Amino acid sequence: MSQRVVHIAKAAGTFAEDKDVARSLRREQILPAIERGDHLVLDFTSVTNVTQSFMHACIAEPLRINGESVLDRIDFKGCNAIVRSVVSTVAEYSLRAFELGQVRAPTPAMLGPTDVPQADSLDTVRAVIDAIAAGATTKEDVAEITGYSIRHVHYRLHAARILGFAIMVGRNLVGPTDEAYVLYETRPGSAEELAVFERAIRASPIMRALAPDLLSRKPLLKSELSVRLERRAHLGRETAMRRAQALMAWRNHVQHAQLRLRGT
Amino acid sequence: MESLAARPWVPARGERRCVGSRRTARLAFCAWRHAAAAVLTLSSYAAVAAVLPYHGVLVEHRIELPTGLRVHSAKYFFENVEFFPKTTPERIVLSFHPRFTHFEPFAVSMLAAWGQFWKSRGVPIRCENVTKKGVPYAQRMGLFKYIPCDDLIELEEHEEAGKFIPLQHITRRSEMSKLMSEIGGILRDPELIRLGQHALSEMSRNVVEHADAEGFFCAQYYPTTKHVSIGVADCGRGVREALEEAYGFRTHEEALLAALRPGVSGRSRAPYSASDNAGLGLFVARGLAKAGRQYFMLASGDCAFRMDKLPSRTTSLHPHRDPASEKHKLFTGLKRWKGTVVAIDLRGMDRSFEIVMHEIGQAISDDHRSAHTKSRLRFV
Repeated sequence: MSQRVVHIAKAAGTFAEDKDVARSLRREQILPAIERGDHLVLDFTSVTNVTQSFMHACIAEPLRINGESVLDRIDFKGCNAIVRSVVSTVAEYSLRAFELGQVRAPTPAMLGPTDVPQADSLDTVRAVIDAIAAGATTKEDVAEITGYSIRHVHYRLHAARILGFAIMVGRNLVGPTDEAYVLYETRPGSAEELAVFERAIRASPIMRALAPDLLSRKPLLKSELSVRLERRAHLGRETAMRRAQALMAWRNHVQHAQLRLRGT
Repeated sequence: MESLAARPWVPARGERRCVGSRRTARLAFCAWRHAAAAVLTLSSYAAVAAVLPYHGVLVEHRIELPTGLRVHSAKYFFENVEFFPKTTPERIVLSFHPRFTHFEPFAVSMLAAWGQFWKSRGVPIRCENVTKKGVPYAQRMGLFKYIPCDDLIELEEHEEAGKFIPLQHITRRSEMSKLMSEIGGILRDPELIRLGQHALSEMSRNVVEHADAEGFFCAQYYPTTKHVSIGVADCGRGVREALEEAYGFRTHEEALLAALRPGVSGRSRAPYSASDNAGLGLFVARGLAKAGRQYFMLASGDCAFRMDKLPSRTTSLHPHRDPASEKHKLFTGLKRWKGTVVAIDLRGMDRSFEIVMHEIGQAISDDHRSAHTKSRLRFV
């Protein structure tokens, strides 16, 4: 295991507050060192003051993605009392964010605009789930495998998270769940695939809060669903209509697949 | 002789018939006169209102500033001054108080941001009473570089060092380190310098990252009370819109109170999960102001939150996670400010800066986890 030293004062001065510098240090030195498995030394010698914003931009993401175990490979060198205090604060809440990202079952009171899926097609969501089950670890990887744009990958990963196939922390992909591997093993268009999707839609806490009757046999109007999304997820009218359209597309996909499979 | 009661009263020429007593008649006549005036006024307003919306024209918008542009009297200021009329005017008249204007830095920053806003839309601003007492202070702060004015008095340029930082433009290309060093130029107390740099860093980063517009800041050191006032303002998105992506707040009040809590960021609803933004800037700035028992104010949209000064005998100076638990005032239903204004007063503390930062950190952290995390960190 090799050692990598990052001299903070050299990059950011004695008052470390420039977040652009912190972002560069994180992307170019800190994250790559952690990914390689190096022992990382963050040298704060000569740094007399540091903002929590700077420290967050430096170390929050590696802690939030990797969890507590990564602290075994990071030394904080030359820290005065202020720097120690800020490091402790940022480390503590970043690890809390890591835990929150593992299991997050929102209650209806917590629902917001970002909890409503935007991806229309379950087939494209499947393609993205297959990519992460096959080993893609970032959105860029998924985009390369599927040929989708980063923006559409984001929407489809978002839907995958809501259905319980992916773990995300904020906009960062953490990895696939066990259900993603189950889906990966099924043949596209098969009864097994349909069963996994149905199970995921019915089990999703967000779908249960927003549209518990999405797969029911009773008629469901897009306009009704849209009004529900406006109220429960605090969406604007037009956004709610578009999102309702996406959910109705999921309903139609499942119902058509059921009809098709019954016919074969 | 015919009795008076029986004789019908017929007024003679020029004589009016009185209804009851003379006093009652006078009162009735006054009431009639006021009612007639009100009807005429309303009719004329109705006529104007009937015409203007049809044409969509506001020719001249007039603003009369109060005498005190201070955090202490902010409510009156925000309630009565309409900076952004619903219809874009053809020109604006900005009238300073005819006797005296007391500016604090937040007001100077606000006026600069506001001037730039209208300048970028081609709306000229004419200033009145610029030679009156107090306005030369704003001139020295550089306000009239952003609100052009012809009638300024000639000022003797005093050395700025030791007292104030004139208006600085905050843009994406701003050299933040230069802004930080400006604070060191007016303050002598090393602890106050660290406080000021910390607060200014957080506030100016907020403008660059969230406002979607340029901002302004300026600062004033008051040697008598040994405190520094910093004001940062922009005419950008405002707090509610900046949090829109992650939260769907319906009112500016909800958005402001949320923004002042730790971990609320427009980048992500999951606390502390955005890579570059923890949602702690305003909470830390509020904590630094409270450490010196001073004012902190955040205004955006139609709402303003002001954390009040604390008496010197107050010993509990940890910031509360919930801003509503602080000694504060919350003003709602104000005239709209398009963008965000932050005013922060900082004063030397009876504790070290290290202890203050530790206390702010404790308020953010989860007590249950904090000790465990500290035991895993390796400080060498």
